[in-house]
Amino acid sequence: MNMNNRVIRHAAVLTAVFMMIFSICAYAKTDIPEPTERLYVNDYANVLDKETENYIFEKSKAYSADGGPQVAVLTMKSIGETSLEEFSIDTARKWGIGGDKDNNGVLILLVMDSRDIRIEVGYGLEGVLNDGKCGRFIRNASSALSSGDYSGGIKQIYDSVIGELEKPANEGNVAVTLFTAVLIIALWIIASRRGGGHYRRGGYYRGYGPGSFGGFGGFGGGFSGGGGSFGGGGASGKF
Amino acid sequence: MKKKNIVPVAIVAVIVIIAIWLVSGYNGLIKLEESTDTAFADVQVQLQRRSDLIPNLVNTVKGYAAHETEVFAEVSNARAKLAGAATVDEMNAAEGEMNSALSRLLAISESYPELKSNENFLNLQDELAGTENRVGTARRDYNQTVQKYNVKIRSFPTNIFANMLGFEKKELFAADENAQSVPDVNF
Repeated sequence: MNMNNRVIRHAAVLTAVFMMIFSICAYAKTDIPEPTERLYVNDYANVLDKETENYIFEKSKAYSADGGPQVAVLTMKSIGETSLEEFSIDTARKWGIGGDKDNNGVLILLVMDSRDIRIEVGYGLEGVLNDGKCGRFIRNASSALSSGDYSGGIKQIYDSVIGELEKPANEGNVAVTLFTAVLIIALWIIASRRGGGHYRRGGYYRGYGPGSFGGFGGFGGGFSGGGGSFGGGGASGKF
Repeated sequence: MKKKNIVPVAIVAVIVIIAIWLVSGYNGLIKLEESTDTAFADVQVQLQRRSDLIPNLVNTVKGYAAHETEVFAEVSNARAKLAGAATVDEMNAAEGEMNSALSRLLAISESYPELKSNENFLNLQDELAGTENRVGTARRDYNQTVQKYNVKIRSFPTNIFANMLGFEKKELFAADENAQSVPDVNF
């Protein structure tokens, strides 16, 4: 009996040790950093000047109000062995940049030791900010970045991204929206004539959950992402 | 009178509990299987998107280097093979061929400075790199979903009925680092 107990105890200790080793191995990948309180500016490599940081923060804060696109900047000293694209999308997803309906988040990532720069674009903005445009923004800013002017380079990319997002929607979209609105109203009129309060009786409710605001705003002082999703759109480059 | 009733009531209760457990377990599996199918479809969408990009890229390169016919043929062969691939295994194989053909195509630009600085070519390169990355992301997402599904159907107690109802283990995409990374594009 005693023997058995000892064997069991040894086995338990061994198992615990193995599990610890395995869990350490499993987390050898570079950890995704937590966003700062200011979400839009995360200068972990400490390469941006105060002025640029404030400029980006204020602009992003104003721009993302009322569910507008969230544009965030992250600088890292190093991301270890993890590939740039993997790190970038994992971070963007974990932070949930952009709203969960519009998926309108953008992450601009600068990695110092590997001299990588990437623009990660959320699903909802892939049409406006296509890969070609992102690549061009990066190429345009690469001379500033490689000369060591990180604030200038990042600001240039940031302004290009915002500038692209601010371009007015083309006429076609407006027409489509109008057409949809007219169609919905027409259907609604037909339905209400025919059904005679059918929807009301059935308790027709479209189920907008209370959490559908997606965490925009900054009531508690800090900012957070709205749960936007990413599919790997954007572009990468070296500087 | 009351005591006699307990046994049949207990039996019915047990049967009901088992039935509820089976139904919810089955529905959970269906949901998981459905999400793996969605993830697989996402991979195919991105592969298709890349496939659509390639002719544009080839034509742009042809405009500057029409005589490099060997590479063009290689790319179109690989493209056809990838289009015909239906299973994960076939895709894995075709993928490797496509990657090497593409990197050779892009390497051509090194000897043609005019092509290298062509705005359209740069644009296509960005699109291609972005699409490669989307493919990689979609594959990673697929693998994660399938892993969840595979673990579920093989762990107790779900495995008891998962086997009977024909839920089978699904294949994963090869974790080939080269396939995931973007072909080297230097500016």
